[in-house]
Amino acid sequence: MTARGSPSRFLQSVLHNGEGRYVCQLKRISLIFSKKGQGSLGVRDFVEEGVVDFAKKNPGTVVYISPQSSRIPKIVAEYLNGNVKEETVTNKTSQQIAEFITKLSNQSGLDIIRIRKPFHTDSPSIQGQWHLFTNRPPSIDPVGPRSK
Amino acid sequence: MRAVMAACWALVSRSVLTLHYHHVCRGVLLTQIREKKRWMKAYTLIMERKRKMEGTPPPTPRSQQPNFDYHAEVEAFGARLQESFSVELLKTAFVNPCYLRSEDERRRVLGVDAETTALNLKDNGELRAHGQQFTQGFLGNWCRANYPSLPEAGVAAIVGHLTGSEVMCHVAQNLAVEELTMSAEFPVPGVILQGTFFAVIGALEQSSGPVRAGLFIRDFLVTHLIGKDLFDMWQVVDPMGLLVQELTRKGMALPEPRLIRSAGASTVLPLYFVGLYSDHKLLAQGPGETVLAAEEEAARVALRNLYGYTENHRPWDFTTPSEQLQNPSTQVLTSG
Repeated sequence: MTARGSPSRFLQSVLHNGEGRYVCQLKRISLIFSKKGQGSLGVRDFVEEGVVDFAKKNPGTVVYISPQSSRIPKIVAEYLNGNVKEETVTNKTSQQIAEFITKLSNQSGLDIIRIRKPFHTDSPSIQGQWHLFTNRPPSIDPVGPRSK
Repeated sequence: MRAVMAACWALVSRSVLTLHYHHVCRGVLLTQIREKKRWMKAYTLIMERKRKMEGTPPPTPRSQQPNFDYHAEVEAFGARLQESFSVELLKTAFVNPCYLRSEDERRRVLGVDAETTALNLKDNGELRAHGQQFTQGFLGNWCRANYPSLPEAGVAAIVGHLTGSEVMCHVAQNLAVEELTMSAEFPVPGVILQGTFFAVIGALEQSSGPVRAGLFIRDFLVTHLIGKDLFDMWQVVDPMGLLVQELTRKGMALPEPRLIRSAGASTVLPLYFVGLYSDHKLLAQGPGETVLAAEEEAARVALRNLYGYTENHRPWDFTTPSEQLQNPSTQVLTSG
């Protein structure tokens, strides 16, 4: 859709993350898969090999493994700002799932929509924002259009 | 032969019997068929009408939804913030007295024997008081160290803003404190959430010491001062009177306002710049739509310059202690 038709936001961080200390914004990740379905093969392989390493590398994220009788394997990621992101991972390989989970852990929970400006500053002006009277010599009489 | 008979019987049964029974063959009767369900539309419409009448269902706490392990969450909470909490202190910090009261009430109402099912939980009253006192002390010291000329009223206003309900609840919700809080009501009321966050700070101070707790407060509360103006937090009714007091205390001459610039005096949006002169030297100038508004704004600008709380002030020090040890020359103002 067009820029005006689809939602957009400004570049921001959750709770000034990084200005003080960096806090990993992913708080909970749930792997929902089935024990026997063929779409969950990648998830089952990932649970066998890679999930424990991921959990050890990210001690601030709680990893839940829930094998259910579900046809569609899902990954549900919850972030500190309350956003929940669900993604189906049917027929993905273990490697792809590992990359996807690393991507989720590097995101903040803010919406993935158009960012209006790729920069943001809390102090836009150091010397003071220009206004009409900056560097203008004072005069007692009213100032008209400049005569040549 | 048998297959043909079974197929015929299936065809016949579909048209004659109700659609909820599907004879696959002589011995097997299925009660669910995979075709389009005639009852689905009516059911969906009834549920929509019910939802419209009753409104959306009330929110449930995350602890009552699937996939939540309290102990794991509490440990992850500490690891996420890169702080080592003592787990018992942290768990105590999350227990509010209202929760204990409501649980006792529930046990009484259910008629369960009080001794066998007694709650072995301590509430967070002490930790909360300790944390609140520590936070306010630390923030006061930080303000005084970074802004030595700011009067006590200003320091109290800044500390009050940072420890107030809005900022504390915002920080607590974005650090997942609300999910771990044990309280009587859900959603957790602001006051209780603020108290729980104070208790968490108290628990941190008792587990890791005042230095780490101070860094925690600096990293999560003081960062909320970034981009905020002094007089947003400190409501000063008479800035000119305050300026006169400050100048007399310093022994400088009283401020005299003079109109410096004016533009569009007869239009809908006039602009006046008033400058305040102390002993014929310009202190500050401020804009406004009327001359009085410009004079008040000039007084505020003068106060900001006096206290050093301008937009272009030297950035506060948010480096970690290890970085501070490496670069001692670049530290100018450290927290108290």
